[in-house]
Amino acid sequence: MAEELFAGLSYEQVVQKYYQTVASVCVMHIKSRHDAEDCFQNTFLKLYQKSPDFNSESHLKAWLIRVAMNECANLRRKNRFTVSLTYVDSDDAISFPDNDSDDISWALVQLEPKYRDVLYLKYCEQYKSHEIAEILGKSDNTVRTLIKRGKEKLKKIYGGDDDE
Amino acid sequence: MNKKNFNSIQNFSVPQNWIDNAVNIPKTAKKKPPVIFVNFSKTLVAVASLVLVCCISLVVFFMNNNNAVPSVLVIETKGTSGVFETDEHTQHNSENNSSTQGTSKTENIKDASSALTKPTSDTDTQMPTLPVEPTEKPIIEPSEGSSLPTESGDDLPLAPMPTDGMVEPSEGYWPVDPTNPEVPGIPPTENRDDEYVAIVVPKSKLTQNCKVYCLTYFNGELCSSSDLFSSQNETEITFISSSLLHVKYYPFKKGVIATQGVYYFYFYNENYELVAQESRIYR
Repeated sequence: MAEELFAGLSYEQVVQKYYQTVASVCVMHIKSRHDAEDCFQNTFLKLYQKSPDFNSESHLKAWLIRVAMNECANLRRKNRFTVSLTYVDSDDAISFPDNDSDDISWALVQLEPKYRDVLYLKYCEQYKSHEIAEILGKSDNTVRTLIKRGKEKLKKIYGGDDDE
Repeated sequence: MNKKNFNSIQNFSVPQNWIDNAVNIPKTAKKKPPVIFVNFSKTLVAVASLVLVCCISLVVFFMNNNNAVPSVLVIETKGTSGVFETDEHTQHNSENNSSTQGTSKTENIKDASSALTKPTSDTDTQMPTLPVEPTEKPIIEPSEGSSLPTESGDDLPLAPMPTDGMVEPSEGYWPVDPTNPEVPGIPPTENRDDEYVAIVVPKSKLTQNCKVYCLTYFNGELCSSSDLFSSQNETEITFISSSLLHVKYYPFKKGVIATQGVYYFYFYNENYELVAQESRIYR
């Protein structure tokens, strides 16, 4: 049986090419390493099981990001009334250093998810506002507003000035 | 001034086992079939059972419709023994209730008068054959010129039996004063056409036309028509319930009873199958 292709890539090639992107989305949303891994694996599991048709690699990448975000949201929703003991364990928790004055990843993870997503897509994945709107299923104006407010909130968190 | 960045997130060091596990997903996981096939078996069973239930319901419905009311139906109303025929069953259905009730009322009035001269079915079924002697003794009056016989007068000629004024005991087994036939529930002794032999049979024993014929035997000989389907052997059927029938046979009306004695009545359906048998003593 011929191997199925995703936008011209085999499944393994997709994993090798986009694992970093998917992992970044997961660790940005989930503070537990094990839970983040679950979301990471579920994202690729859905890719394999559903095997959707992709127009291009950008389409594939956007789909993976969207699915990873949804998986994280589902996990958060499922665990909203429970606190994992492993989360208390420092070995399992994902932490970002705050001693680097330029790396403000630690501040990003403290934002609300709706701001976190748009800022991540804009500054980490370099998407434009209309592309972010397409990925998140929101209007362009909404995304612009979210970016603007998210930046303000982020600055309040890390105590920065107007520079990015 | 340095630009802010998210390097820690972007360059998160992904454990190798995450990547290996993700790569190995095709080896461990099975592809989900399309949604329509996921629950195919359950859906198939559900649809099949639904169709089966519908078919059974339709069959039962139509069978009930076919067996609900036969073409000829006689309904006996309780208490008054009122009888009204519904030969035109479909016509009755189409008529409104008031007209139907009116018909039955007139028939009930008609039968209420006949109820005075006809034993009720309950009486007949509960004590059908026991003959009862009339309670009134015959009145014997000596005729003119006759003399009373003496008990010990052997040499004396026996006086002739008086015949005038002597009243014969009434025929039949009803303890009734024949001079007062108006007493309710007691039939007159002269006209016995309304006397009948009744049996209760389950409807399942009968054919679709629900017809029963009666052959009458006396002293081992057939005393009714040898043709089973002749009018002399016809019975009257009334419904007790949907499964039980009340079959009546009028031997006097049919001219079967000629002399005193024990009569045997054999009830047959249209297929010459014996449905029930009954015996009566007639005096």
